[in-house]
Amino acid sequence: MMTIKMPSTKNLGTHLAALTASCFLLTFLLTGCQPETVTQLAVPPATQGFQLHVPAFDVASGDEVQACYFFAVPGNPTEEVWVNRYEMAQAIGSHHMNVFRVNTIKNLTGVPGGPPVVSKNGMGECFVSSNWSDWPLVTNSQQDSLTDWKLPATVAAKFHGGELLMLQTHFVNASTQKTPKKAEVSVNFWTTPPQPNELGTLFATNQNIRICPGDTNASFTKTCNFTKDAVHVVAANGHFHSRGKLFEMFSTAANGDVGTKFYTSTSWDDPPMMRDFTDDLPAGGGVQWKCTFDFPTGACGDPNNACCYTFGGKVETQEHCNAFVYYWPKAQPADVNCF
Amino acid sequence: MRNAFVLTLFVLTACPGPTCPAGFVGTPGATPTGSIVFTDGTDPTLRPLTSGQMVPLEPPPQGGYVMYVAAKVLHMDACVEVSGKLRDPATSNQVGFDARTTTLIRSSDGSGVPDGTNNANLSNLNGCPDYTTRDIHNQDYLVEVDIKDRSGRTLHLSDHITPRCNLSNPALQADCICTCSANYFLGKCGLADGGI
Repeated sequence: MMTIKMPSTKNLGTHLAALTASCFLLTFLLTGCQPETVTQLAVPPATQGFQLHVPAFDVASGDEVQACYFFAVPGNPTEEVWVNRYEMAQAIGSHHMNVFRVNTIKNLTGVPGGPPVVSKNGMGECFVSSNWSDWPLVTNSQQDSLTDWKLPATVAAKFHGGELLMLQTHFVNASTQKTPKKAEVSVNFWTTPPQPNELGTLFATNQNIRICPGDTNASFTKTCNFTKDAVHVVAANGHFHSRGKLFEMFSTAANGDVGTKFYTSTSWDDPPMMRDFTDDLPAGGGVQWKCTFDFPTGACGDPNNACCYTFGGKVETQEHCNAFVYYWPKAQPADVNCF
Repeated sequence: MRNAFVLTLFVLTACPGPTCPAGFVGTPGATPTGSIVFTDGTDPTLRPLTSGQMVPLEPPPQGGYVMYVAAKVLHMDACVEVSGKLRDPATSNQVGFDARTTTLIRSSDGSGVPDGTNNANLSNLNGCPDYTTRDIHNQDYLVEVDIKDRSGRTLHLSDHITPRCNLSNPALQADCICTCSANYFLGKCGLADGGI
């Protein structure tokens, strides 16, 4: 069997651009081969961007590792840094990768390039979600290998030099997901001259979910109305664990009327980053997100809670219902988190 | 034989949801009735809502503040979706919405209620962070509770409430008031939360 070897060290972005989708698909159909997972990216030239890199590490069998790494945006605080493309590469076994702007410090902090905060199996500050409850989302990916996300023309995310970012990576090597090789993450931020439209983000999480023995089609729906003026959705993805069967997002009007469904996913471990939407969120409106779950036969989530699966970051025994939405123009004066 | 197979298939596929230990509550064919109830998030007692009632805003695990509301019902199936909406009475704009499936249990008077021992069985009605231009804390709002059972019966209830931060921890109370006040933005309450 032939393996498609992806260029992995130098000028990867250029090589990938040259490898057209049709060629890629044709090769796949002819050979039945899978491309090698991309975990490393060439560092952008300093004038064109910067990279956040989580070095390779082991995830022992039966473990879930969630690690929080801190980085600073290059440049001076007075300097604006505009980004219009994210390349995100993750080893197989990645459950999620979120990048946030560090805001109020509670019990989770670090210095750029310093040691990460590493937590295991649901325990430790990198698992405590209240630690980043007011940290604005930058970007995220839940897909193995490469996600190359280019923002629409005229839209970019704005940073300042020295701004502190936190990259949170979660790898699972247990029954629901496997990490067969080392864990590793690379994220390239490609810069651009200032753009007229600033990207905004929405991170929304339903914190009180409970899926119990016998449950089928258990659903949890929440709405976050946050827009003052209408905004354009450019990308979205939903996040839950292995009991999740359907993730949906809808636009909502100011009066709560539910509008267009703009996101659907039935994949819990590799949910798509959907892009190129044509939908708007109306003025005074926002997003409704809905998660539908089935309880697995013969399973037990929390033995101290009637075997139910409840809110939490540990994939094996807990559940999530989180929505990530990217839009423009950015809500002023900041991005939006909803609970 | 074929008819039996078709009937079995119909029965299997026509059962849309989980089994309901409480079955049907009340009299089949009667019009659903009910009233709004709420809890304070710590005491499982379901309390009846009176018009203008102060309903406490409580902190969930990660952030924001919610109210726990539901309904006490009759003449409905026990498998329901309970949804709560919070509306600004002046504009009718919706400022909070939470819906979830749950199974009602029978209360001592024979009506069906969600199991108040777990907050996940009630609508976790959000309103904070408050991105609107009007405070949530200590203002008049409309709460709407809708119950829909698995057979399609519906019940709509609404009344005025006053969402209020009423927490004994001073740091939490300050964070609640800040988060539930108009024009919230991320980081606005960072100094007030005291490391919660």
